[in-house]
Amino acid sequence: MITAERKEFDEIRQMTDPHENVLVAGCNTCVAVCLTGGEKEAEQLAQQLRIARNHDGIKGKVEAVTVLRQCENEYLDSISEQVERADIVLSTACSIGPQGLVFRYPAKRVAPAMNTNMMGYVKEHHVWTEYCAACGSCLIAATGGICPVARCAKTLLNGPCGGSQNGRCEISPEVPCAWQEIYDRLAALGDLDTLKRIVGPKKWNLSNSGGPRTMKKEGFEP
Amino acid sequence: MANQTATLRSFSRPVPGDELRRPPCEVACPIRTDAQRYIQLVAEGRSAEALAVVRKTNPLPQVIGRICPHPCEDACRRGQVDEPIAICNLKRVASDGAKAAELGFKPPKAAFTTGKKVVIIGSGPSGLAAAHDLALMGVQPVVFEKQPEAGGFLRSGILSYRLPKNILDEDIDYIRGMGVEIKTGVRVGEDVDFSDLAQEFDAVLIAVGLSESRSLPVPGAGLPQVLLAVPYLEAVNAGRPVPELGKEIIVIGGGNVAIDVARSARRLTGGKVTMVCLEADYEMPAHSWEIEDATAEGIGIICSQGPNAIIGEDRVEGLQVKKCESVFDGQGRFAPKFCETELSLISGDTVIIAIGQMSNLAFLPDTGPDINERGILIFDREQCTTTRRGVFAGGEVVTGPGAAVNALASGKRAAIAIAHYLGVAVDFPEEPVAIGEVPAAVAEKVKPAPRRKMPARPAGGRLQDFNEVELGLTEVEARCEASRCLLCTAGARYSQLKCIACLTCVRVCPYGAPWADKDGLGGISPERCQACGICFTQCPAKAIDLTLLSENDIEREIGVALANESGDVEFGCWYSQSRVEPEAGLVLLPCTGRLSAGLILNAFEQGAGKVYVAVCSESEDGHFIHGHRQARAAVAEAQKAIEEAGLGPESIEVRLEPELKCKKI
Amino acid sequence: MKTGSNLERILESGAFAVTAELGPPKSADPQVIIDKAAILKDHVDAVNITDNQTAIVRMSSAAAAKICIEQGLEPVMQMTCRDRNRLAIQADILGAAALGVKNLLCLTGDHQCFGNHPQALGVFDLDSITMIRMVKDMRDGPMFQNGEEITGPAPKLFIGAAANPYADPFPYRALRLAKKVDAGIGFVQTQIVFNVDKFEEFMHQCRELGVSERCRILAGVAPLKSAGMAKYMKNRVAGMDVPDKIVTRMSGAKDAQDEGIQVCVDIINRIREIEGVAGVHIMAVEWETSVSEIVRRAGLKK
Repeated sequence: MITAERKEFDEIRQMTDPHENVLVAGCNTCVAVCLTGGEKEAEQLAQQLRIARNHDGIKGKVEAVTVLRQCENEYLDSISEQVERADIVLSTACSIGPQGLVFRYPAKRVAPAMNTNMMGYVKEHHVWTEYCAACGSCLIAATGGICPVARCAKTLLNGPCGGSQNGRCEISPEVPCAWQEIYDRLAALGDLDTLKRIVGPKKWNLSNSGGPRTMKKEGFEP
Repeated sequence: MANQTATLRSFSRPVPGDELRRPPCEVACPIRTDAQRYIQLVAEGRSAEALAVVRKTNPLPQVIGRICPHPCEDACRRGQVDEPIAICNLKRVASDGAKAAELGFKPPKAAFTTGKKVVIIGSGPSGLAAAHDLALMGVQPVVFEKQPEAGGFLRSGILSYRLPKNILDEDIDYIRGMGVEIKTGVRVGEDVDFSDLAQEFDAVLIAVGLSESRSLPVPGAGLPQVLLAVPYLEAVNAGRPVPELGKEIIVIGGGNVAIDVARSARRLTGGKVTMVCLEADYEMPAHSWEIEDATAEGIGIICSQGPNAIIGEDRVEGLQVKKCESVFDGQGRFAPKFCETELSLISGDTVIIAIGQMSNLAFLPDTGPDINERGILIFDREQCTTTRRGVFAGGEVVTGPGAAVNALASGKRAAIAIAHYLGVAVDFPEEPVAIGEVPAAVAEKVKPAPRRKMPARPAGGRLQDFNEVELGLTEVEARCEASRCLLCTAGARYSQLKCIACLTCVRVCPYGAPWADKDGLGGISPERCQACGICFTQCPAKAIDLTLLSENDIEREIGVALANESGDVEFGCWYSQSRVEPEAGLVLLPCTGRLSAGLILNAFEQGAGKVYVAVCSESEDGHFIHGHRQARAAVAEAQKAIEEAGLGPESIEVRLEPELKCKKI
Repeated sequence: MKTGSNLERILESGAFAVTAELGPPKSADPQVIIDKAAILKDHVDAVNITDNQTAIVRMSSAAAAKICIEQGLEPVMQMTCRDRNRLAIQADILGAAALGVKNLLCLTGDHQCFGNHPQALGVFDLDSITMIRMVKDMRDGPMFQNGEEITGPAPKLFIGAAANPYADPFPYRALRLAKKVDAGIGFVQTQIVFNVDKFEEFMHQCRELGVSERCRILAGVAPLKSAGMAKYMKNRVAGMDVPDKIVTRMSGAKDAQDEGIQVCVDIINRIREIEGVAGVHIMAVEWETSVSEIVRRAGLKK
């Protein structure tokens, strides 16, 4: 899923303090599952803002409302009353949420409460690991099902660099070396020959480097 | 943070309809007492509210709190962990505590809105229960009692060392106080005519109980020193002398009445008292704790012997008995088999027969209601009706002998039947279904805590008088005992509508209660849930709340606590019974592990100056697994939030419980 | 001979080659390069001009290489994938070749988080292997990475790469080098060898794969300046394998610098005996003056 972390409270204050009525809009999908921007967190952020603004004598109301997904028109439409009441909508969704709000409510000020960081897998509770970089041309069939584009610090396609040590990446002992994992997996599967083939250069034009992407379901164009 | 588990459990789907199921104690209780709720209130030290919960279903709370054979305790799931909760004793604590606080004894004034009147014949438990419930339903009851005082067998049959008379009086006075009229010393059939009553009132309830002792057709039964249990007990209870009593008393019978007879005889005479019964020791119908008490008081029990003859010319000299080889037949029916040749003699100068009771229905006219060939009232168990329209029956007259609480249940059912007959829109309550047993894996994780023993007077001293033997649990002990409750069905409730299938609860629950399937459908197994609240604090979609002390409840309690002068709040723990900041307003939680950061922030939003959170030591889990860790995590999160918001981080303080009383054994 | 590289000529002749390292300054001062070149020039066959080494901004390797050529010292220009995409790399290769650069060392590059601009975007459009193939195609195709023909003079470069026998997974290290050979390298310089036993094992694997026949292997060596440096490299530098006995030897030395040089010489002497080793690459970082002494004591040349 998409993961996002809440911004520092000071930054959120700077965005919202100049405005009287604030609507904290939560999103009950990815950011709820990653425990940062769902209904509970949105309400807690609203509480925190109320306490802070009350402490500093800032007028206005801080409300919270949560929709199932902020990346869909209909859900955003369902909170129109709350949005209309607010001077600024602070979204705790991934960056799609506030941009969706902008699309849906062109006249409304919108601010992101979150920094969107990745698409991750929940390896254990409270730990999300980046597994996909949305590169647009999946190559993991050649790498034992482990993505070096997302999981190697240098997006190497042809094996581990000289910084791989004891299964760890050179950038941090916290980070596993994706290529060690790929090697181990291919070795276990008896598929090490795969690694003799030179892969790439990669077609980065299929990724975000090729410009903003649009996906359409074929056969449904107007 | 709570339970770092990297592997998901394998899920098993529990029986559907979890949300409708109830604690087994409640289901086992004939009057469906919400025992768990009052136990929780006792745990919090809120006796008066606990008593109010008892009173919701129980018209004789003090009486039942002393003499109930507590089927609830047999069903109690704590018994699958170690020993059942002392539910009955805690009921007594609720009423004793409320009484000490002078609360909970002011009866509600009944408003007889229907204008209908019912006559109830008999003021035993079933009659009183029916009267109480009818009054609450707007029907005016008038109770007729042949004895000079109300209470039926509770007064005449149960001795004051088990049920002090003032306690019975208080419970009856409460019912009287509601507006129920009890006419004592009036014999229906002699002083008033049954048919006249049936004419005058809109309905009749026969609740006369089993007021006559059965005798024994054996030689010598007519001797003057051969007594029957009921008249004997009536005399003892009324304080009348029983001149026939000698120094060597034989009690025939193995039931609870026989035990009462034996224990009272021992008190009155100080002599030798021996019980003789047909049943083997393991078959005796008396409750095991009654047998223990009797034995402790020096009463001998001779089992598997049937009376053959009472020996003596003009005075009783002994009882000849024959060996009883079996009491019941293959179908479990009463059909004793004796060895007629194996005779023995028990010497004694008095025999009291306590082998059972029957009802006296001589007051009923020929016009009905009808009686069958065995002299038993013809009765519809379901509808509580007799063969005569408008005449109902309830209690042991129709159910046969049993516990007082069963008589209450029967009386309460009759009350509903009567009210319905009189046009009140009521119906019999739905039969609740209990949750299942505690899975072994969960039982292992429950913090051990021994059942608190009811303090009793030493056997030697208590034989000197008829004062109450059981002394009642102290408040600390009662709260410790109440804290052992597993809070069956009072834990996490989850909303399928709000659930986003994130699996957080599945991962954080220390007891493995939440489950989910591949489609993201799930639930929380009430059998496994211990109501610790961790899932509630962590659920990102707010799809989980707690049945007992929901988020709203806690927020409301915060508001109440803030009415305190200090303007500070302490989140305290049931189980410790101690305070970390006595000046602050108290919000008592089963465990502060159920605090979310949001609830702490809510206290500040409601104006708290400072928030104190009681937690137990990091080195050991308190009542719940991970409870203190969860509490600390919530505090850390709230602390960061308020610090960012410009309040001092010192506004929240975590304090260790100074004393965990419930940890003490 | 594919190029006009002196280094290639020496290696092809079968002579034992010696290269060293010349780090460009963190300024626009050409004199630093001129001075270092003067120190090294008479003792080595070529010098590597590092490319923003350890992700710290320095003078561009192409410009520094040009200054080096002017001093009469043949440069091995280093090029990483970290800071340039395939357009920039090809452009710089054309430019460097035009300025007379004959040797190019293709590297992935240390991660930018180690350097002085840790917030920088890491490009990594290519990795070292796809870069090698691209450079080979530019030389031999001649064509650009996209397949388009280079119609004018092609960059005639002697292509090299790095190899680290001490990185993991060890069994894959020789295979990965073989992949670089397949992609088009003519020579390789290894990570600094302290653990000669493991290096021997690596060389054995290289021989098995035919790598040492198809490309010239220069073993990396370096003089230790102190016992502290030995310990630091042992414990703190990723991909460095310093045996305890070397740390002990450095700790017990009266003249640490002298001992460091001697350790290096001893290692060179052992390495020379290993079949398939074609030369040494002396990495005397900020201690260029030691190179002449190492070369002298090891009896390498001149």
